[in-house]
Amino acid sequence: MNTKFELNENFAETFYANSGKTTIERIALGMLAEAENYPVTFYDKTMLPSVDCCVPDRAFIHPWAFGINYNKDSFNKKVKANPEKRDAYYSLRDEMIKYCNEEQWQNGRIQEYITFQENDLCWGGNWMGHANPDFARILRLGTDGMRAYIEECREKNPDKDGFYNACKITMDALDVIGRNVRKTALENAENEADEGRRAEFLRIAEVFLKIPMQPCYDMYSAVMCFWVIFTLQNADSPGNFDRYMYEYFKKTDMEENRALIRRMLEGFQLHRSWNLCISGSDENWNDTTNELSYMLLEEITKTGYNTPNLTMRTHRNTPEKLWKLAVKSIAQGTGLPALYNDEIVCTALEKLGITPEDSHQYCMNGCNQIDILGKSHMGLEDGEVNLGKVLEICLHNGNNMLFDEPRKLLEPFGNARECKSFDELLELYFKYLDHVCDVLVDEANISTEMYTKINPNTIRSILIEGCLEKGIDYKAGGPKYNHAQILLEGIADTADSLWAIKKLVFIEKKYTMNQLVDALEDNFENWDDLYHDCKTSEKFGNDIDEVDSICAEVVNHFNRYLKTKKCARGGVYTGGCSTFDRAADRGIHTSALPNGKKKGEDNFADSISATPGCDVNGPTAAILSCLKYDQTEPCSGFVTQLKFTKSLFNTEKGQDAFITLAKTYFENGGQQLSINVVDRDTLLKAQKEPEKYKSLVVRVGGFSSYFCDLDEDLQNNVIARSEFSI
Amino acid sequence: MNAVIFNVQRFSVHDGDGIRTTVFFKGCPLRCLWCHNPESQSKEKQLMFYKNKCVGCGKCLSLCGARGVENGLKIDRTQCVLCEKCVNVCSVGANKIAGTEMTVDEIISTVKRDKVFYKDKGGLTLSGGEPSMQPSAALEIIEKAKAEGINTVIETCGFGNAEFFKKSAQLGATFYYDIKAVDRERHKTLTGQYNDVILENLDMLFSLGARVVLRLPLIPNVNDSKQDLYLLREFLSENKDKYIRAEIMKYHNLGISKANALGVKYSMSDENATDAQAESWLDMLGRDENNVVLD
Repeated sequence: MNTKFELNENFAETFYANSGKTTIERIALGMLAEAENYPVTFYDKTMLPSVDCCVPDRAFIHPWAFGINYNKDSFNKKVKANPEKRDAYYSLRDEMIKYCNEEQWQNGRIQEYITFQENDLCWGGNWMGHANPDFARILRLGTDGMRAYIEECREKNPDKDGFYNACKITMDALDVIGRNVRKTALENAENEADEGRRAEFLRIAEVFLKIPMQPCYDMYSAVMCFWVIFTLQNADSPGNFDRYMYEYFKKTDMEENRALIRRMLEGFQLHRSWNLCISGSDENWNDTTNELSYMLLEEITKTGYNTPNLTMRTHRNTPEKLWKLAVKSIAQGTGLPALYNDEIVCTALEKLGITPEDSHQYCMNGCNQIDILGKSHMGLEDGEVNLGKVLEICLHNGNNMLFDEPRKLLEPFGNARECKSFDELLELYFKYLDHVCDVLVDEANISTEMYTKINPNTIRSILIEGCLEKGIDYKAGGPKYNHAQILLEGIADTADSLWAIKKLVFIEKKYTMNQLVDALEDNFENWDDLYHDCKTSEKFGNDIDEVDSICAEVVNHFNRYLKTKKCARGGVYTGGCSTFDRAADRGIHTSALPNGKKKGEDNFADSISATPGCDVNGPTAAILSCLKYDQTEPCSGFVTQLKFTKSLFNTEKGQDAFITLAKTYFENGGQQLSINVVDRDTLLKAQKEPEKYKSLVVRVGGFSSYFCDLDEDLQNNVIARSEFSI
Repeated sequence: MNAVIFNVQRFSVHDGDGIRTTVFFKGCPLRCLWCHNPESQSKEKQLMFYKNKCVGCGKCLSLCGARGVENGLKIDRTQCVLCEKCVNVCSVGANKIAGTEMTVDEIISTVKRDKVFYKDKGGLTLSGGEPSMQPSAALEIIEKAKAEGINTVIETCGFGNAEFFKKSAQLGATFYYDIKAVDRERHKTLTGQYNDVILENLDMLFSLGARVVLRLPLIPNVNDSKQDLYLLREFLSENKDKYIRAEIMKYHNLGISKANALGVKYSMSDENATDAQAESWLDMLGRDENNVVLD
């Protein structure tokens, strides 16, 4: 494989030779000039044409997927290996840096934001990110058809020649890559000793006589064509694969279909692809599950792979058979598929003005960002806010308390110590929160505008509806729908903290605000009673209305406030929450909180669920707590995590109970459900850190005990046999 | 009306159909050798001390004379007055009290919280301990649940007042009814009581046409001798038209931790029953013929 430390100098040279043209044309011309040099790799397990043009060990990266960039390490290695070209390389590099204009970028940024970001309060910005392009546009029309369509659109938007030229050149570049695939397949066939593999290479070469220029005609040609475009896009997220591939699938016999799917699943795993979505409803709530959906789920269950993330969309008419298959897959231990609820997701999307016809075409990219397949740029983590850290600065007059000397991040909006009521404190907290949002959104918008200028993306513009039709690039507001997303972190930790204050200071009046803030400043040292009261006050995730209502108020406030903020691409900001393994890091960067978290401790809420170990009333209570949020507000995936052992799913009864649980959550307003399968490793961790795993309950008929209450040898026994449901 | 309860467990999936909330009553007339809920036997509150969770902070030692033994790792239970100070001061939950008085309304309001999950199958389960030891409270709970449209399962040893069983059957309860041994002397040795009342109550439930699932706790080398199983098979065979199914409850050792926390002796094996044992029990009891299943 010849991808190590490639320079992509053809790209860079052509880019600069055409400096009189529009940016997007220069980039497309560069892509065309480079196209012939893209290595095509047929991995043994897949025998699919993978085109890794954007691997990060290239010195210059360009925008099939990542955007223009310069990779210092790869560049230096390349220069070392080719000392005679040193000067030429350096001048290209300087041009590249000048183009990206990092200096200007830096100067454009908001100073207050930089302070916030450096203090882990929030993050905001822009990047190329994930997308859900409609690959089928090219599969259906071929590049010839696309070129004709591009001309058609050009006529309607006469002043956009640069953009349309660039899109057309990109299609030419794709043809070059297609020829390159054919050439490589023929070469491989010649050198291949194995008869079967040789025949396969020849078959691929045959297919690439017609594609990508002409429309695909069966599953085989469609998969080959898809795979080239998909890997050029850095093998990101296949989206609603069972929908757009079905017309080819049904033209092909099942044995061939299955073989192709198996090859692709190996490929998804190999390329670490992001998100594949199956099933769902149309705008009339008809179920869209088809044989391809079932085949994908079955084959993914067989592989046991956890890549890509598998999303299963459910709704009022999801077939029972699909639910049962999904549970079998979840039981394997990967926790996949993640379950989504059309009833809430579509409502949330429609609140943004997306039509029902389009909202029902949603799918996921990345971990769980929601996009409308081939129609939207819904933003991709344009930012994150740590709600717990915001509470910290609110309680300490705008100071970050993580260091021996507190660091002032902003002028205080008021003194928390002087709050006379809980409502007053909450109002103060919202002032801080809104301000952090304002700053973060401004920064994200500046960064978006900057990024848009230097990184137009022709391939996404071609594959996402609206761009060609309007003559506007994907990053610049071309797609039919344009919004942005900010993710929340530390939700439950914040709600538990606010409840502890409300209870201990304002209801029971056991402590004063001064005492509480002092104790936090001291990281609870020598405040044993207060610490104990904070630690043992009620927590989110147990279906306790007093705590849950605060949690809902904070989150609903945030989600609604965000929607008042305009995004640079058009549209608005919306909220989401999918913290996953970032939670611990956010915990470490947050000082002592009134929920009893000490400075330095990393136990922090994962997504919208409870702080680990705090939801001790079982999954129904955890779910009821989560139902108190208005889940039709956030549009970026509002992830609920539940923990079960595989053994719950061992019996039909357990499987049914799980399905009832999930359906009940969804019928009552839940958006998403991820199952965290408690495995041996988790239980071993629970033995070491019982605090974080207090919620694990061992369930046997007529008996229940918290796992952490068991004697150690019995815990070992449970771990070894794993036959009890937890 | 109050009931003494030691746990209300939501999302119970092993105590009847669907998703259920199980209310564990404290107090039991039997003393089964293998009891996995030893804190359920006495109706009185009890202190449970989970030694493995104790971090040795010593906070409880200074508050209590009963805690000074073996650096606090042992409790002089004759001195303990259940003041709960040690429970309140413990940050890691090593001290807990088993047993709390709850009003029927409190219990019902907790049970109601999960109503959306019950759908057509799930509901409320009364377990223990022995619900029939607190008949008035139990009946009031069943009645109030029924008024809410929530069905009730009663897990019972059957050793209780006939009137309770009759009334709860009339309220539509389903019974998960233990048969621990068929032979009356054997029953006395294993549980401390003869099984006459138990079998009479069961007959009455059968004659009322109540929904009954038999539960057969089987403990290797304790109540699974050839003779035990032979008698059990005969019993099942005679009554097979009257019960819904019979479920084998395989012995597990998880009760040991609770016994240790209570500071009481646990005389049973620390070996769980194996799958192979369970399979042979199923065969010997007639899995198809007598509709016997594993829980």
